[in-house]
Amino acid sequence: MTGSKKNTRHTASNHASWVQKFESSLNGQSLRALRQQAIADFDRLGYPTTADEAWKSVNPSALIRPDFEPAIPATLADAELEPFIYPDLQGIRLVFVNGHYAPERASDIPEGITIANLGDVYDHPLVKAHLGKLAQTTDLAFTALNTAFMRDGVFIHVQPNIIVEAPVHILFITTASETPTISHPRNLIIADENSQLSIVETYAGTGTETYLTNAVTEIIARDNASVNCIRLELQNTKGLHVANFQAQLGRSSRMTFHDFTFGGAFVRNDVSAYLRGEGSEATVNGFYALEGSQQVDNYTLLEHAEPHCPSHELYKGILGGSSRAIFRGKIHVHQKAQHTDAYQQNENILLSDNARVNTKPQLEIYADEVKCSHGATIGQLDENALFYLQTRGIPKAEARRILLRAFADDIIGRVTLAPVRSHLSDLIDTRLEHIYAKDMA
Amino acid sequence: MLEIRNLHAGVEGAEILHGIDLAVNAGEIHAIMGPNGSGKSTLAQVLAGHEAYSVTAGEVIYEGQDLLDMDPDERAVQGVFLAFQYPVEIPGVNSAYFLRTALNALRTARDEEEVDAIDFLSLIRDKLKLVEMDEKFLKRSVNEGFSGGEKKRHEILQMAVLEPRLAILDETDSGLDIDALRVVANGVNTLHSADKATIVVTHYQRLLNNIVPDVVHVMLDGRIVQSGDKTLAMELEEKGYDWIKEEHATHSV
Repeated sequence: MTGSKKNTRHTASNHASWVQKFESSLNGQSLRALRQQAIADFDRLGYPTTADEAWKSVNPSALIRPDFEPAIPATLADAELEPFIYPDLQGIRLVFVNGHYAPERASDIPEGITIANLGDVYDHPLVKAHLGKLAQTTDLAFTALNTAFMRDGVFIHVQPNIIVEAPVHILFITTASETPTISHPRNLIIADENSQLSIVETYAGTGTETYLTNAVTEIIARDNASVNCIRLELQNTKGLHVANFQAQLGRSSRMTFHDFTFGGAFVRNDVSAYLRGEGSEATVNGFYALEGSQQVDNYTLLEHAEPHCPSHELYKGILGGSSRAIFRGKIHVHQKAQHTDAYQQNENILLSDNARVNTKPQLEIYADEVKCSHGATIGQLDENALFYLQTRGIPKAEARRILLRAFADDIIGRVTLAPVRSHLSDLIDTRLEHIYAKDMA
Repeated sequence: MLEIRNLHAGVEGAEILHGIDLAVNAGEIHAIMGPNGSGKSTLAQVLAGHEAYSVTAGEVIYEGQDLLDMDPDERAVQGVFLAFQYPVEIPGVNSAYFLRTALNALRTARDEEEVDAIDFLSLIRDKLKLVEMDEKFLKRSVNEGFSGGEKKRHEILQMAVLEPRLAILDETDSGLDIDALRVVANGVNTLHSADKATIVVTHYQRLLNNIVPDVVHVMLDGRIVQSGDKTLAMELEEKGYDWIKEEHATHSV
């Protein structure tokens, strides 16, 4: 125990020097106090180990490599970007390559909405007021690292009463590199009163080697605002991905979040929605399709702090190979949050004997008048349903595809942006073929 | 059309069918009756190709081919259809998609052209009338939330769409009220013809008032112990299964 503490203190001095060096590269706009607090928190926390409650079901050691270098800017070829964009999605696009903003790839910005590279607007009053307020560094080591070393990402501010029709597609692409790299994308999105916004976040890698993307997104939906978020995690097969998504909801506001995890060797998603206004409503859905030795850890929190708030949470997963999924869903209902209506469900289909799922609901309820329900299922593909389809002339492989697609479409069908939905439909088909090809081989 | 010879089959090492012999010709309706646990449903499942049942001896020749050698979907392509005793719920797959996919799977396997969505709709409307089902069923997930009667009518709807040559109805009458029974029986009678064969597996004689069998077989303990014409079914209705059990017991001693 003493040994490990010493070790932490030793690395602490290194980290402080990293931050100093890093700040000098930032052209003076450094958010110094925030970064210093963050690195101090990180020094105290250290990297997570399986001894940490929040990491005990997976071994986070894959994420900890002393040889990670900060990712450096690179030019992205059109062909490298092409697989991740949707020509039918008529919207605003921002592209970040290796964590650095690529202004040449950005589309025009319509009126009524402020969209900028966060790295260019550290001094914006809203950034100063809100950055790091939701995604606190006190107990999340990777969020502390992100906060200490954040550089670019999106800052969005939608003015009151503005409906932004065009969805904002934000892409974070990591290119091939000879040495393993790390980047810390950081997003802050503020939707003012009565405004409406849709965001699509894509995280992807174009190389074949390992890298770590450590992203943090903070969303503030003010009174009666409506924010619709979709996240696609398409990292390469050796990619490592840690993401912290935090949303705060004002009175009568609505936030929907759909999270799709397809890529990455190791993925950790923290998703929190804080229902801090009466009558606000959060929908948090996720879908993962895993193969090989992929590990995905979804850690969600729905915090009901005010009365009359519904929350809906549905995570579904298909696992092949020796992949592993963890779902932990916490619902925290404050004493004040009467008439909470919270629903949580996690469903999994295992396609191989070696795939594993751990699922754990956690309900903390301090109010009396509450409707809270949760459920979890882990099972194989329904053999009786397969047989039934086969007796109608449908070949087994097609029957399997139909059943798995029906399972996935339950989530995909809830995505309201049609171009993204149809892209997801193609992605899942390719993905399922891949999982089966591997398992059958 | 169908010839079953000395069929032995079971599940997980336990034999349930102890040598079934049965010949069904085109144009015939056969009823297989018997008490619970006599092996009627096992026979139906084996004929459809359920993996859980293993055949340990005997053969099944369908239209000159070895039926047991075919996968379940191949059997369907060859014209075999099983109406399930307990139709399976398939959440997320709506009935229209299911029916059209099944029909097109059969057509593709038979080198026939696929039916497009528009032609399918006019085809399905006719079939829906036959089983007195509303078009709204097409949008619902297969069997999910269907009542017992709706499930059975949906089975007959599938049969109407897929037009099998050998239809096996596994206790299609169980759990039906008299109106649903009439609809199901009317469907089966309408779909039956001189070039088709129908096997009706049932526990009760009631269905046979509406579907008149050419041959009635009685199954007991995995064997067909008696065959006769429709009067045998009436006799069973009147006397129950006990007399035949006793008679059979005496015979085997």
